[in-house]
Amino acid sequence: MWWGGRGQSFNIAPQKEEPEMGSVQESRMPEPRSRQPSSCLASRCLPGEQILAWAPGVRKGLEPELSGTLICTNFRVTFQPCGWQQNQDTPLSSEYDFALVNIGRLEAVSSLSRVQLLRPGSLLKFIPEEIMIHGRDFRLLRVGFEAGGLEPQAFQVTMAIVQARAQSNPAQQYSGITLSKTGQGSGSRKPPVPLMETAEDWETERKKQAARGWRVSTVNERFDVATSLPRYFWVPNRILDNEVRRAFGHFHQGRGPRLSWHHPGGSDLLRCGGFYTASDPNKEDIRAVESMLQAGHSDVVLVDTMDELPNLADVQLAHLRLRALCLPDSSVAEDKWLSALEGTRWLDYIRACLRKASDISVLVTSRVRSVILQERGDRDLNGLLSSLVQLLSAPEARTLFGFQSLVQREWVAAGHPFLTRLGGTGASEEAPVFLLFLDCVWQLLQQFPADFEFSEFFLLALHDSVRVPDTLTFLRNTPWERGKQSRQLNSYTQVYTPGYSQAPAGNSFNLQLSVWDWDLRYSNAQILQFQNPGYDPEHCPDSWLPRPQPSFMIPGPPSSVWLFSRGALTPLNQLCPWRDSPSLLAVSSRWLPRPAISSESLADQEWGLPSHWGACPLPPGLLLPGYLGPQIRFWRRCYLRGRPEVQMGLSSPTISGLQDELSHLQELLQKWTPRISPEVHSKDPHTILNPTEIVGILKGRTEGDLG
Amino acid sequence: MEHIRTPKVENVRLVDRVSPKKAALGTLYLTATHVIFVENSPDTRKETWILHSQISTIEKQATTATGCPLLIRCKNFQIIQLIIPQERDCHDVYISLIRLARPVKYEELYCFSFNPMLDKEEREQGWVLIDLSEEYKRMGLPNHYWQLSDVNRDYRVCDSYPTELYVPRSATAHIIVGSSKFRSRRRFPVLSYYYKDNHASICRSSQPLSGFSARCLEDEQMLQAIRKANPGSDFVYVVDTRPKLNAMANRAAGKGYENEDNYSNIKFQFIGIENIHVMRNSLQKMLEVCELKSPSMSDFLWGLENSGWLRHIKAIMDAGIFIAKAVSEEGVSVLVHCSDGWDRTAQVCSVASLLLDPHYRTLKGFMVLIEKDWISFGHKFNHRYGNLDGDPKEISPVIDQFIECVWQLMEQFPCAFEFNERFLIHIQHHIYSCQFGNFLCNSQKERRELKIQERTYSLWAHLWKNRADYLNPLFRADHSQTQGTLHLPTAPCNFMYKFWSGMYNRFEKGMQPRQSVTDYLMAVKEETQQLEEELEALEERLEKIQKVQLNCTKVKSKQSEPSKHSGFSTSDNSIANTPQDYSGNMKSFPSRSPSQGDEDSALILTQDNLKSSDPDLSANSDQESGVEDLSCRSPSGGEHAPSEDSGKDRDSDEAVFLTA
Repeated sequence: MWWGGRGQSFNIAPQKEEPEMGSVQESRMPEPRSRQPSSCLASRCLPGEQILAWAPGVRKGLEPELSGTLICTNFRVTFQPCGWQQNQDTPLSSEYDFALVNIGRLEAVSSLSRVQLLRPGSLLKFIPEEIMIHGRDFRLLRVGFEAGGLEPQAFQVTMAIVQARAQSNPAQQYSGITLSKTGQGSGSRKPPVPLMETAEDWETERKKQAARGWRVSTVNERFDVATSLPRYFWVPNRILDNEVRRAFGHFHQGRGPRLSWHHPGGSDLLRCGGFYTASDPNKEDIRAVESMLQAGHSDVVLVDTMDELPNLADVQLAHLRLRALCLPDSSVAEDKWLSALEGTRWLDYIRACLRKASDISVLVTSRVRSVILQERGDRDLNGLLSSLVQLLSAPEARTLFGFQSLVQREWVAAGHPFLTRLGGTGASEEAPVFLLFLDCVWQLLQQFPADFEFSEFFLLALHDSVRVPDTLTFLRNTPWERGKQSRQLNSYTQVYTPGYSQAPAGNSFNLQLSVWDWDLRYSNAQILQFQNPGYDPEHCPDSWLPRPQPSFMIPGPPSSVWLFSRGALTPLNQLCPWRDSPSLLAVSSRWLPRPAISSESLADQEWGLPSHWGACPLPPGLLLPGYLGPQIRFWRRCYLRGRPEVQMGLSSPTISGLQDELSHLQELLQKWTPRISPEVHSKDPHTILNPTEIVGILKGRTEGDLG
Repeated sequence: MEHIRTPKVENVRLVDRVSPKKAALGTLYLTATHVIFVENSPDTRKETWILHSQISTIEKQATTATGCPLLIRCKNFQIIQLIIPQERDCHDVYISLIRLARPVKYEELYCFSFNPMLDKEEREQGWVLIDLSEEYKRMGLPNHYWQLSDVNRDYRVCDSYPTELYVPRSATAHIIVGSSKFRSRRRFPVLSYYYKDNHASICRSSQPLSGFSARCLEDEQMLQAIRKANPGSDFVYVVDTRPKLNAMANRAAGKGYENEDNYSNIKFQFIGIENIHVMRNSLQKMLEVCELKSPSMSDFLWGLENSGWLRHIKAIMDAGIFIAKAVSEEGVSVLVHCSDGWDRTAQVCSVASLLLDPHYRTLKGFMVLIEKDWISFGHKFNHRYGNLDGDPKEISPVIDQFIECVWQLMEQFPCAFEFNERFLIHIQHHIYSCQFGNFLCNSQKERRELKIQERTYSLWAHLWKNRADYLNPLFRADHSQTQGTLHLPTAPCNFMYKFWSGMYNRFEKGMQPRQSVTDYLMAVKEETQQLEEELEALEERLEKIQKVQLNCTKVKSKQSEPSKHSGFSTSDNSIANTPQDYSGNMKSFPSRSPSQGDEDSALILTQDNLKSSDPDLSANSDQESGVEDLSCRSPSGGEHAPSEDSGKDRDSDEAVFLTA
């Protein structure tokens, strides 16, 4: 056990550490403490990490209970079970670590009293017998303290957590984690997923999508068009960079129309911010804007993203209510659970997102229309919708790699303000849009278990990652800020690790760790569980159906522009709001005619209600999720993790079942292997195939004929 | 047949419930047993079959320009809306169905005309498949404490009880008869389940006729005898599954519950499960939610909550959990009763047994459980499920609730049950279908009088024959979770109980997940099994060939090499690393590739079996199209025509083998 047992030599007096902690906060890049570097490294602390207090305890709420040590450092609270060996490759642990910023509620319990310690003015006046840390990610850490002379330690560690939590800065990365990780590897390392920070990444992705009419624009290379946009993005071939600059100036925060995804059928999915109404475009500007929006298509559909979707405040409120509902002591009466769940509105918002995304997918795929998603800020629901549409329409996006690339492109690179939305900069703009998105993806996983390469476990890992400050992915609002930070880190590496020979120039981004570096917190065994064993890429649910009927492909009248709202297409006279209005003051965001409301969604009109799907042909590769009330499920394994009664017996459903199934097949394979080739047999009878190999073999078996 | 006013109506429209604009035009037929709708569309000729006994309500709606709409709600939660052009035809169909759906004699039921082409011997074997005396033996009875009593021979004491009953050895005939006179409908305390690990037992009875002050010495002795039959414990729990208020109201009618003061060493406990009328209304409310055309989140969640259905399910589960804990953890025997001891008592005893004993979580064990706690102990199937025309107030989804409890448990313990959801759904279907004789009548006595076993077939044999359809691929008999008692948290967390979309929305295909992991796993499992069998067969042949080759010295041993590889190439990819070029062989095995195997098994899973195993279910073309769905969406879906059968594969195998 790396922390040592009782009476180890490290210093545990919290009061002495406090001033030093302050200094850690001030300097962004703290030097590894010279006072106790050896013990830190020996105990596998992160560089710059200090143990503030510790106490032996028992982790409760698990079967069986684990005894170990509860440790509070200036970075995290961690529970180390006795005899637990820190994995050499993962500096952090996904199971035992609670980042300080993740602590949503801290309760100290004794037989006589119970107090919530993070409330202003609350004091710990007794020695706790148990503390409960409720994560903002719905996890729960329940530690009981051993009696017998160690009570002061229990008190100290609890107080240390309170203080460290108060002083933690949500925007601060675990310093030196990059260092500790990259220090191990060889010189230049390629990120597991393209970070979309170089022109080559964009070019590669463009080629992959076969978006021939598009090119990578370098106009924002210095972030002077928009700091919230990535350095590179895709614009129509024919548009020159100065036209791009000209056009983008007329959009909110300079976020003009860019390609999100090119459908092989020829249509495009674009996203952009709202028109900047205070601007005064001249004719040429308007032409540039229009040609960027039309992108060479005669027929485009403008989608008001905000229409029918919750706004940021709605999402935040729903999430807060959801969290309150899922706390073990939520005051909801037993038989009022369902209406309380409804009252959070969370499921309703998921429903709205799925419904809108499937409508847009229908437009892009079966109707082959180009769609422009327009949201005022273009940084929240546009990303959500655009990603969902791609998941529904593009099988590549449903692979592990494809999904990670998708999130990196449509959320991280596109400038979703993660730090603000996750509450890092104060409460006012907080709204976990990304978590709403993850729940939507989970719903898809439930409805189409064979179509996704990644598992629920992967989604949970991603869900929990947003509160772990190990990489900058979720700690910054824009690519610009992220880039600034990683450059600093780079110089830091060069200065502080003399023994570390990293080529200094040219690969400044190679060092940057992202959330996709899963091995920071997940062991190889855990990472294997990211694979969905039920995934069958050869399985095309609809390939047996006839191809889409030509009636779906009928194009609209030439050069037509439509507005899509509430399930109906309304013709628009013009794309931009300015042309016919002499006075720009008259321009409002609602210059558009209100369309008649259609109760049926587009997908309904095309194929009947969800209950009817399957009877009619869908375009190949398109998934249309059900979004009727009974079809939207509650993500128990995420939100109810903090309810101890749910953890018992219930936490092992299908995923572990599938694991069992795999191990069964593994046994069978082993049984066969010796019969097949004697060499394998003689090699080592105890070699056990790991699940991915098994999956590989199984896949090989299924594909054998088709290939 | 005399009730069919019109056997055939043409130009009828079958309305799609969710998108009314879409309606299929076809012909409606009325037969003695089914309503059949055949679509006109020449390429599909889709057929929809509905058994008369499944019809719950028929509603004639206001005539419109297109015709006269007829709404048929079924007991298996299917809803059919027809539009009949002529008002007169509609009326005839309506009147005919009203009569056909409510037979007055048992002989009118489908099971008396259903003939699965089995001979007499097969039919008799079917009826002995589930043998209750075997089951009591399995429990370890008779033993030192419990004996088989013949007191109810010829149903002399209680006509709703079976003849074979286990009672404590110390309970004499005098005590039994005395006790029976003090119990509603003379349903005296008898053994339902014996937990041999610690001698604790679950007994069942009806309520005592205690009124406000009546006592019965024999009844008190009877409970004493039950306590003595469990030497490890000095008291007995008496569980009254009714709400206390209901039980007290019964006292005014001279019935009621046990007075703790009169019985030595009992602990009395109420568990408030509502009565059949409350349950009927609750289901009605939930079905209204299910009928909503396009339910929003709040429609659904509020509707579900207001129906109270899941609350009732939880009450039944809680009672079962209480009893299972008392028996397994405290080692205390429990006497369960409600009013008559045939509804809530049956639910609770069977849930508790299911929690306690892994045997009941197997296919056969589950059949035994239903046979024991429901069929033999006189659950009034005929009244509760309205098989014959009767008092609508007697109808209530009592066993449906039990079946749902099992499903809820399966959701929480996915590896603990040998059977799958489909098994439960098919049992539910046949409780109402009257296609088999098992669930006819209200008691064993009535069934014997009707000579059910000589005149009808047993569902259990039918299910057992097709058990491959009903296996849960995740079942692990050796899993720690599945051994012994299932432990559920007792803490109040009713969010553990979920809406069972697979049951109540089972005819709304769109409501189900588009792919079933279970079916996928099942397919993989079957494929594995097939490959294994094939491997064995090939090895045998290989051995033979090699012997031949040894004899024939001119043939070089080399020749056997490729054939060996080709034989195994289907089962393991790793062989691809061997230097030999066997790609030609791979190609020559197209029809027996693993992916084809997948498809075969998917077919076995669905189409074939449904057709053969379940004439009625498969006859319903809605089911059938679901079947098609599955087979086509089976993991290897591909472009293969589903008609390729394994016979053909074997031929090509042979051919390839010979060329090799």
